[in-house]
Amino acid sequence: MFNTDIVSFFTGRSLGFFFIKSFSIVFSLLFTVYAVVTFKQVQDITKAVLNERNRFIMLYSWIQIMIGIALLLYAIFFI
Amino acid sequence: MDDLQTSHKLFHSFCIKPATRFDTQGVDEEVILVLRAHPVTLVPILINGLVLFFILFFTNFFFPSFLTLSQILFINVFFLVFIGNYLWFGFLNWYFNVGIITNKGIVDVDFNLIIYKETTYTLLSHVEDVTAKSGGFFESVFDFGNLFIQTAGTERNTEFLNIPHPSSAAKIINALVQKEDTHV
Repeated sequence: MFNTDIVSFFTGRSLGFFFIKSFSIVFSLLFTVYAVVTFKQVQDITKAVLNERNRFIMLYSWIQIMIGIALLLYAIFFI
Repeated sequence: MDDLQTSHKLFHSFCIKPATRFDTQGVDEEVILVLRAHPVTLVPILINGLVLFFILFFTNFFFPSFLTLSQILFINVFFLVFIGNYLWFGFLNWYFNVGIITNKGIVDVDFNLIIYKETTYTLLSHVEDVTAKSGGFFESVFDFGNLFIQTAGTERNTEFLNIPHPSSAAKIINALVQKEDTHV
C-alpha cells in the first residue's frame, strides 16, 4: 500500500500504469540494443560476402534501429 | 567450366557465375557457384510468423479494459515489430549461410544466431571426396539435400546443408577438382 502511494505520488497514476510504462521502456531499449548488434554484425558479414543486394539488407537493418528508437521514444513520452 | 551460363535459381539459392565476391578472393579467382539452403527450408519460419500474427490478432479481443488506447497501440506495434524481426532473423540466417565455389577453392560462410560467424576456405587441390546426400519426402519432392566435401589431412571438412540440386553441385565441384588436378 505504501509502495503504491509512492508510485502514485511521483506519476499521478496507478501501479499498473507504472509497470506497463517501465516494461515498455525496458523492452524497447532491449530491442534497440538488439537492432544495433544486428546492424553491426550485418555490416561485418556484408564485407565478407559482397553483392549488389547487400545495400538493401543494410538499409533494412538501419530501419530496424530507427524503429527501435521510435518505440523507445513512444514508450517514454506517449504511454 | 566455360560452358556454364550465368543463372540464378530458386531465389538465389543456386547461382551459377553470379556477380558475388568475397573478401579473401584472389585477383584471378572467379566465383563459379553460390549455394544457399533451399527456400523451402524457410517455410516453417513463415508459418511460425503467421501463427504469431494470428495470436496477436486474437489477443486484441481479450485485452483488459484498464489499458489505454496508446498502451494497446504500443503492444500491437511492438509485437508486430517482434514478428517482423523474427522473420528478418530467419532470412539473415538463410541469406548469409552461403557456400561459394570458385575456380581455386571452396568458401563456407556460416552466420548463425547473428552473433556467431565462421568462414572456412578450402583449396580445390585439398579436396579428396565430394558426397551429395538426399533423403526424405520433402528432399525428394523439392530436390534438395546435403553436400559433404572431405578434405585431405587434418583440415576441416566442409558441408553445405539443404542446398538445392546437390548432385549438380557435386558434379560442378568434381569437374573443378579434376581441372585443378590436371593443372598441377
